[in-house]
Amino acid sequence: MLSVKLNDITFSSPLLNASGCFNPELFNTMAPLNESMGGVVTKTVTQEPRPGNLQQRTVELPGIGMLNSIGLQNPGLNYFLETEVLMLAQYGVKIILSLSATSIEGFGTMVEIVTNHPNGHWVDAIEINLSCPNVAKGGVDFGISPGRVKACTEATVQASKCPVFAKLTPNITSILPVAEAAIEGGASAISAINTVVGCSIDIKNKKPYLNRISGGYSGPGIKPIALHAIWQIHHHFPETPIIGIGGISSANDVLEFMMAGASLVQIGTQSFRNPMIFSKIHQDLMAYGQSEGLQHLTDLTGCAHSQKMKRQSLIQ
Amino acid sequence: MPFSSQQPHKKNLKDHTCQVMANQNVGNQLYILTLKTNDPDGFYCRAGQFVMIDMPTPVFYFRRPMSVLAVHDDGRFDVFYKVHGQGTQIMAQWQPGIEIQVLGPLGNTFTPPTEPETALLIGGGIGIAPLYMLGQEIKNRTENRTPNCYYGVRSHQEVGLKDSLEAQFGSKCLHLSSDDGSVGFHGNVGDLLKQNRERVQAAKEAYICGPTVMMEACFQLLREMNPAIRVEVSLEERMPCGTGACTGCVVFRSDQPLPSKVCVEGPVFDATTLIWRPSAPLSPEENIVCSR
Repeated sequence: MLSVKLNDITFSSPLLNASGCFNPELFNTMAPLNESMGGVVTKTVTQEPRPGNLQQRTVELPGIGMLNSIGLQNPGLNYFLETEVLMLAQYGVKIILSLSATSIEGFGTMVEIVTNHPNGHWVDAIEINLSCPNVAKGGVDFGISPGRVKACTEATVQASKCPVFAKLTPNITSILPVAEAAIEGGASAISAINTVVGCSIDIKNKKPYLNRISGGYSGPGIKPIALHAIWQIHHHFPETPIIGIGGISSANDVLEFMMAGASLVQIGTQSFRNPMIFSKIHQDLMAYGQSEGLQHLTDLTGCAHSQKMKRQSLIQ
Repeated sequence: MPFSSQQPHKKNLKDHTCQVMANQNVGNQLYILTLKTNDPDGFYCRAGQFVMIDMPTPVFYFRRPMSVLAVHDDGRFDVFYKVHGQGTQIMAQWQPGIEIQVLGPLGNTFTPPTEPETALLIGGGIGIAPLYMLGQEIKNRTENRTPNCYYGVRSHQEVGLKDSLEAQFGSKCLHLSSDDGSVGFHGNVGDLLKQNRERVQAAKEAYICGPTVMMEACFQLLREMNPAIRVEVSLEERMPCGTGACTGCVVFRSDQPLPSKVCVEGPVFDATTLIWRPSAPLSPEENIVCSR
């Protein structure tokens, strides 16, 4: 009932982790976890290892979420292909490789390395993280420019043997131009949203909490922002699958995202509080589906739009 | 044997549903929380390991990382904490009988000393908790051979565990210091170590847990007095997840190409490998604001 077919990939569940929010080694200790997850999105991998930022990297925002400025700490693409992908493969979940580069060509180069590597076939899909700085443009994020979103997506799609998901930033006036650009670039799906830029000040010490001053805001507080973005994308591009991300904490939240237009969802910040959240939501979604007599949960995808249309027609 | 931290007992990791048995105020903002798991296998952990304690509220909070003070046979275990923020303020209100979720045990453990009697356990503030448990482990393994414990606090109101520490280490091996002189030696724990130069010079191993500034100062002091001493420190960092997922709690080390996650690669580290004050590894152009 919970399986989702996206392109040629069948996910056993609509629940994925958000990139950088899950340690797959938990599968060793919390066994049912991989049964409730349709796939694992890797922590974003860059071509070379990155040490990330200095402390302080995170701030708790009680009640609403957190800020992070980890800075893409990762051991690099070669380590991923030689070691991590094999560790992930043993758990039998779909593997979505989150990639980031500092140039448009860099995306294509990385995907060629993946495609040509003997372990590259374990990667089921690629999610490009566009919330990273374009060094050639003075460090401005790729994700805010439709032209560069399209170019990065194209470079990735052309070099890839597997579907490409474009993960979009909400830190832009309207998400629609960049969503359209990703679709034109050949993205198989849109992942939305990445974190919302934010800041928090330590009034005791009269300085920002984060070493990098600002960071990515995630957690329950960004759910309405994410739902708005997903609603808009689904409304304008109903044929494009959406992977909904942003403050999901419960099965009801997942249902909201699906009704707004998502086919799959990713859970991030809430899993820091409760790594077993995937199992709990999986159970609750099953119970919901049974009580509603649903054959496929994805039948709900975008249904709130049609309800809206119905209401409008009644008014008319 | 290399002086490296032992691997965590991963198979024991569970999200325990626990009942609060007691939540005793033992000093100025200091509490001992006694929990009992409903898991029939009980609760097991080693000195140095920690748990992530959930706030039983639908409002979003991270779990709080807490060192385990003691583990009992009947599924009960104690954590020692100080109220210093919103989370611990909530914890201090907990009454016996309520249920909370506790993820653990997490992290690695101390390396047992090769010479228990000369080992130095050096604690500051609530950092004494894992050292108290280490003292118990050492005694259990060595037919009650007792290491020396040096414990620094601000004042007598912040000792909290005085009776327990005296029972654990005995008056001969317990050495207290206070900043205001209201209990034990008048001065900080570093000054106390200087007063005990012979013991420091005779020690093969030392274990430190407390505020970072205190740990760094004590480590430098120990190495000045005894260059051959091997030192492990148990670090405290902000931990959103405690499970190695978020990469928020890292520490930079001289023998590792990338920062180490305190929650899974620590919290216990060989002090010689730590870079206490790292410089920025990235240029401003590489500032990544919104990506994990």
